[in-house]
Amino acid sequence: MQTLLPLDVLGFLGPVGNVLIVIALGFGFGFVLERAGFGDARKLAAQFYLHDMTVLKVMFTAIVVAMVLILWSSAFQLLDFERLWVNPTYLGPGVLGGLILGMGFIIGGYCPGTALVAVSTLKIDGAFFVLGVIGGLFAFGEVVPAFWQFYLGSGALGRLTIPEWLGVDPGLIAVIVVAMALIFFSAAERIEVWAKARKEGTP
Amino acid sequence: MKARAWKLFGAIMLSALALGLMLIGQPSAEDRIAHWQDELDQMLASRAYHLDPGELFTLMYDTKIKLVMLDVRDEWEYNLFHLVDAQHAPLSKLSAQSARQLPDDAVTVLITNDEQRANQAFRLLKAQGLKNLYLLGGGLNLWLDIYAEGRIDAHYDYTKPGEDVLRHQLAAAVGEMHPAARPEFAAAPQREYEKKVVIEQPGPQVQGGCG
Repeated sequence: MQTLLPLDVLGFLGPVGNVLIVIALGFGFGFVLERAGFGDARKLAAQFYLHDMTVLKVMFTAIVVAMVLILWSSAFQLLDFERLWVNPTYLGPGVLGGLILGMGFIIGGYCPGTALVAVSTLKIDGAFFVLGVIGGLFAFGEVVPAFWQFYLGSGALGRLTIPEWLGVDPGLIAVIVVAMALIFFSAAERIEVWAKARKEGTP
Repeated sequence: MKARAWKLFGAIMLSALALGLMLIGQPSAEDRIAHWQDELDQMLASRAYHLDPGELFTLMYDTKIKLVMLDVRDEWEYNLFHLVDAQHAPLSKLSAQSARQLPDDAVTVLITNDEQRANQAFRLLKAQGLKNLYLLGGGLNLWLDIYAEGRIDAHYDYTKPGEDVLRHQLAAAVGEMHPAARPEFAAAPQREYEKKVVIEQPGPQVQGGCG
């Protein structure tokens, strides 16, 4: 008794097929990131200096398109939303981790995924960033027992989505998120024009 | 100009799809039951998910299995008699949320006096995709026939389901203090039964994100 989606890849293709699908998806994702220019630290960092808002536009477009398709598939019972993995919510660690990752993004010019994209096109700064990520992972693994309580117990809310949190229909949240995206896209383009004019010294 | 037209087209499409979602809404628990009606009917008619009391008794003592027993009767019935470790989860309070809170890697057994309310609870929880879900065949009436009255060969005629009431008379609300609430393993009557529990492993949980 299963919906069509999510596809039971492991059941259809076995472990080897599953790994091949993962590799193909990873390659496809990396390829799209590279084509969007996300293998270049200057383009990524420009987001934070308001010169180039491509990151916001590409990522937010991906989020709203995926959200709308998932909810439509669920509405027609093609997709079992309960079987989709939703990262469990840990409020405190989520906020702190987001700040640390954001700082690392500004300083290093990459997030971990885009650093791998940069490595795939043989960028030296990307390789150093990946080494830093691996070092950070190792250091985190060594020190995490010291703040285990904070890591696993601070604001642990389990599998929680915004509609469940607010007790409203997911369709309403979809409308609000799409409206936010369209407003942000419009604002981002105006900001880009403003930043470019400022850089060139034109009024 | 062409790029601008594409952007406008995308904005209109996304807005229309989002508004459409708000209008049609997401499937409720009832919608899911209706969607899987035929499969649920077949599952229940096959009796492949109705555990013999002898099998539930064995599961109670199996330390390798995570067993969750949900007693779906009303509070006064639960207070009257229930199995040791059975959680009170009245049918009226079960929801899609309940299925999400139950562990996928546990064997969940639904219990009522007869079978009717357990069948309804099975439809509700199974339609939400809960794995390893079973119900106590013959209900507590058959359980008490065997473990309170010692009628080792007692059976349940599912072609003539009774009302979902406790047939056995109890002098007081004894809850789980009754000896049959968890019969001693060595002293309890050993009963032959058809083994039905097949543990289905939860699917792999893949974490994602841009990272």
